[in-house]
Amino acid sequence: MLSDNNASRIVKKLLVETARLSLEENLEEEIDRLVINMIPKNSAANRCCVHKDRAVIKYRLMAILGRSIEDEQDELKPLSEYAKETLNREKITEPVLTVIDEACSACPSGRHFVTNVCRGCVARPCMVNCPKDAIEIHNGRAEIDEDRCVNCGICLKVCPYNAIVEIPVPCESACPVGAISKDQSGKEKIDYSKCIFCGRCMTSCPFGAIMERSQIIDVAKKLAEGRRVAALTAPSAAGQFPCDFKQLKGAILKAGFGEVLEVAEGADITAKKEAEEFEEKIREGQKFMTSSCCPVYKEAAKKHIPELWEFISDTPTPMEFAGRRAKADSPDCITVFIGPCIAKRQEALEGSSIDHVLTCEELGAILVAKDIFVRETNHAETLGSASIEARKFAVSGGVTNAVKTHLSGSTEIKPELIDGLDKKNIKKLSDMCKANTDANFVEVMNCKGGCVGGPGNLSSPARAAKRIEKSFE
Amino acid sequence: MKKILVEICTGTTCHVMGSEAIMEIRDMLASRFKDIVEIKATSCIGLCRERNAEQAPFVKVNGRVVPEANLLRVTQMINEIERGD
Repeated sequence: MLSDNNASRIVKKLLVETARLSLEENLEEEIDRLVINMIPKNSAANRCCVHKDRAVIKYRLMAILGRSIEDEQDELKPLSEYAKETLNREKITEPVLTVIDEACSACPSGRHFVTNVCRGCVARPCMVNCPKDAIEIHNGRAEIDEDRCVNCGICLKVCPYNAIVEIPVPCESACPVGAISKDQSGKEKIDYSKCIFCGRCMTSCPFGAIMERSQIIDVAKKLAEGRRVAALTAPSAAGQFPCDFKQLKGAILKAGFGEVLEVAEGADITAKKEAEEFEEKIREGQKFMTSSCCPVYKEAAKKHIPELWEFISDTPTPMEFAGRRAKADSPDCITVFIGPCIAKRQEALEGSSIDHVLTCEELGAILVAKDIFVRETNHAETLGSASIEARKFAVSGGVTNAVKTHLSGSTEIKPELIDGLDKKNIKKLSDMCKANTDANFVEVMNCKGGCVGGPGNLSSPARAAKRIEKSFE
Repeated sequence: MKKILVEICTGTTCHVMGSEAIMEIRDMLASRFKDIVEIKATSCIGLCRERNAEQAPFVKVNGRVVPEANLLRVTQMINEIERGD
């Protein structure tokens, strides 16, 4: 599914504009004006008025500058001061997400509501079956008494006209681990002791109230200064632009990156080591082993399925191997991982080989800001030396296929795929630890379809997978 | 009836701003358009350079420009052209 909507387009416009100002080394001087440029005086307001729209844009820009909105001390502090601090910062801080309370609409929670599809029927199954006597008929139509209703949902199930709906809170419904909920004022707040950084709250909020704390300015600044910056492209990044990989590589080099390394080369090392580890662990009698490259899954295991931890492979991720290699080749270089994932920001913070993480969306913004047209860019001379299996790591089933190619044959692999880490699959993984299972190798991908379905992507998973296939055939 | 040509720009700006979602329009069109609408992905048509890049993504329907294109706007333009407006 593509997530093209007005909220995401506003963020992308802001990313492009801030990247442009940053590359022109004009960010501090111009960023306050950007708010007015985005929402001029007589523009049609998305919210109640242009002033509210401008306030939200200011907070969005704060997130793009890498700040937590929750940390705001002084409402009068201008964006130019935040920009100055970002331009001077050396270290990235946690957490990777932030909630713009000004943008949050405090959606009414989990309420059941009778729509005008209700025909006030004689059977009245909603009324008869309500265990709390919360439904009455007024003017020939059912009405729910909110004080009595306990949101059990029986009325919704029994209505033959589908006239009763449950109004969800999109971010809360999307979160598979219950990490986001309302505070006393009704605005959403993330509990980071539960959050697994999957980004579902961010992509599901229709008000765009949840944002990532971007590192686009940090990267743009280093490019503008002419520092040696290495781009480490995730396997899924190869499918995100309307061109083949060699051309994308050419475009990234043109944008000022010193070199482009494929994280797929790290994936080759991960697959090889994971195959050895799998054979060894199964030989020693371990019931099963799971893949370890999805940071959302690892975060979920750490915080919500601790019994699963011992079954996760100890092998480092492709990003980690690729980062280590880049730092070994050139210790002074700035390593920038480019992929679709929000949790990679967290993984990078915990490790030491990756300095910055950009989403494919943010890379796109840098290319636009630099007026680089990928389809008109010259192909890079070399493609890289990763195997085709490693390059397909980003599509569900890809890790299993890559691991298979490195098996010695001493142990029979019985793979299982967890494609999308929802509530059901989290329970399934927990059950696997307790009960017997037929599988001995479990590949877990948080995003449906694999990393090509990540929240920071530009293309639909199907199109991205097809492009990867075509780029490396 | 003469064919209606929908040209979707796949230049970087239009792509980043969401032009790829418009490729799905083939499945969304009313059945009467099935044989008369031709959908084509084009290289950068240069409109983001001429005009304000903020108006991307751009789509051309029989040469008429649809700025800030989305499925709705493009479908409306196809309808307008069919009506002869």
